[in-house]
This record gives sequence, C-alpha cells and structure tokens, in this order.
Amino acid sequence: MPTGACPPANVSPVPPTRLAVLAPLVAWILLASCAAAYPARHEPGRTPAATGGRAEGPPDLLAAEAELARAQGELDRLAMDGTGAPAGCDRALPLADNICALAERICAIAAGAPDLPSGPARCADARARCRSAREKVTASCPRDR
Amino acid sequence: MRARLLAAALGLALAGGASCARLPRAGDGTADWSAGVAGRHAEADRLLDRGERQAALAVLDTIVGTPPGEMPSGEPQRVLLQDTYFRLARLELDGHRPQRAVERASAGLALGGGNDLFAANLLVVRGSARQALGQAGAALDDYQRALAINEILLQRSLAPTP
Repeated sequence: MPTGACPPANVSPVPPTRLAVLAPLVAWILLASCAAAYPARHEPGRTPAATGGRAEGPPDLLAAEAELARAQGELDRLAMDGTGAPAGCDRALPLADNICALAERICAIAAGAPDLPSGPARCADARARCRSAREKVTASCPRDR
Repeated sequence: MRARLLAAALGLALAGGASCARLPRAGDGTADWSAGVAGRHAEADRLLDRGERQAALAVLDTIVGTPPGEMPSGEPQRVLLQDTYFRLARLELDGHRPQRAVERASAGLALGGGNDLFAANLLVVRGSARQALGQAGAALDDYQRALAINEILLQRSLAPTP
C-alpha cells in the first residue's frame, strides 16, 4: 500500500477507482454508525502547481488505496488483531502521511507568500505536528505488521 | 467490477444492520437512496471513462440536487452527499474551474459533520482550489483545519480498543 510516495504527475485526475472507494466507504460508514465511530477515508487531495492550477500530488488513487487499507484495517479489528499492535495501525499510517503531506502544503504556501502573517511559524508548527504524528505511529505500530 | 464491489459493500453493511437498529435495511428509504447514489456514481465513472466530464458532473449534480423530502436524513445521507460534493469539487478543480470547486466544497462543508475525513477531504480540495485562485491565506487555513482533523483521527486510531 503506498502511503507516502507521490505518484507520477500524469496520473489520471479522476481514476476509475471511484466506486472501489465508495464501496468500502459505504460499508464502513454503516458499520461505523453502529460502533459510533467516524469513517476514515484518507484523501490527501492534490496541490495545484504554480502555473495554472494544474493538479499535482497524491491523487484519488492513493485515496482509494488508503480507503481500502482502512476498510481492511477495520475488518482486521473486527477479526481481532494478533500482533499486539493497536488495531488502528492500518489507519494510522495513512493518517500520518496525510498530516505530513498537509504540512508540506502549508510550508509551500508560506514560502511562496512571504507577506502572509505567521507563515513561517505556521510552517514550523505543521512540521512539528508531522514529526509528532510519525513518532506516535512509530511508537505504536511495529513495522513488520 | 466496481458495481460488484459496491453491491458487496452495501450487502455487508445491510447484513451488519441485523444487529444494529440504526442501520438501514433493504427496502427502507435510506438503503434505496444509498443504492441510487451508488448507481449514479457508477454512471459518472462510465462517463468519465469516455471523457464526458460535463455529463458526469450533471449526473452527480442530480444526487446533491435531490429534494430534501426525497432522501432520508441522518449520517448516511450526510456522508454520501459530502462524498459527492467532494467529487464534484475535484472534477471542477481538474476542469480548471477553481471557483466552482470552492463553491462545491463549501456546500459540502455546510452540511456539517465535524471532525471526520469527509470534512477533511472537502477542506483539502477547497484549499487546493483556493491555492489555484491565489488565495494563499484561505488555502492555508483550510489545510490547517484538515491537518487538525487528521490529527484527531490519528489519535482515535491509536487509542486502545475497548
């Protein structure tokens, strides 16, 4: 499951994975409504390039795969995790990736708009939150799950 | 394949509903409406596969344009509508209409929901659209809100399971 690497820029903007996303999404939503939990689809979105707002960055494909992983993680949880790691590790990894991807976007904006109030501070804060997220995942989730 | 996946997911959800009174059951309004939404997303997929972006947008518009009295209320409705708004916003953004993308995403966010990834998705796509519009401050605000939601979800995912 790719959770951090950026795909090639020429990935189709709207890949034909939409229902592959929606299917586990709907299932999980409805299951989650029973467990009073929130659904957790992972959508890093995309970053418009400096020229013309052309989309780049993690596309729907990553969201689809992350969603499938999340749904699988939910199934794993229901089936009881035997590794000793928190049951949400499959969800935590892409969430940490999302946090770090958003931090990089924030920093890119701050760097490109020096007149933005508190831009550098917001960038530093976002990167610190990225590090914190990674540390939490590393501390809680074995790499060889 | 996609339709089978969706059918399996809905079936799983409905089967799970046997032990949960809040879940929709086959034949009730929520399940019917949800299945209809899924069918229209599948239609949009087919149209996009043929490069018919405007037609796909029109199909998805029929979902969010459903009169309130003709769809069930509650969380399934909210998340399916927000997911559709998210998709509409992405299509608008990919079609180089960032202002329309902002409007679509804002409409989805106006449905509420709080700290879940549906809201986070809408914030990310709106941030991207605002970035494309040169609205750096507003984009940064959206990204920061999305980041905060992801943090909350991360915390939840690592919390011990009761």
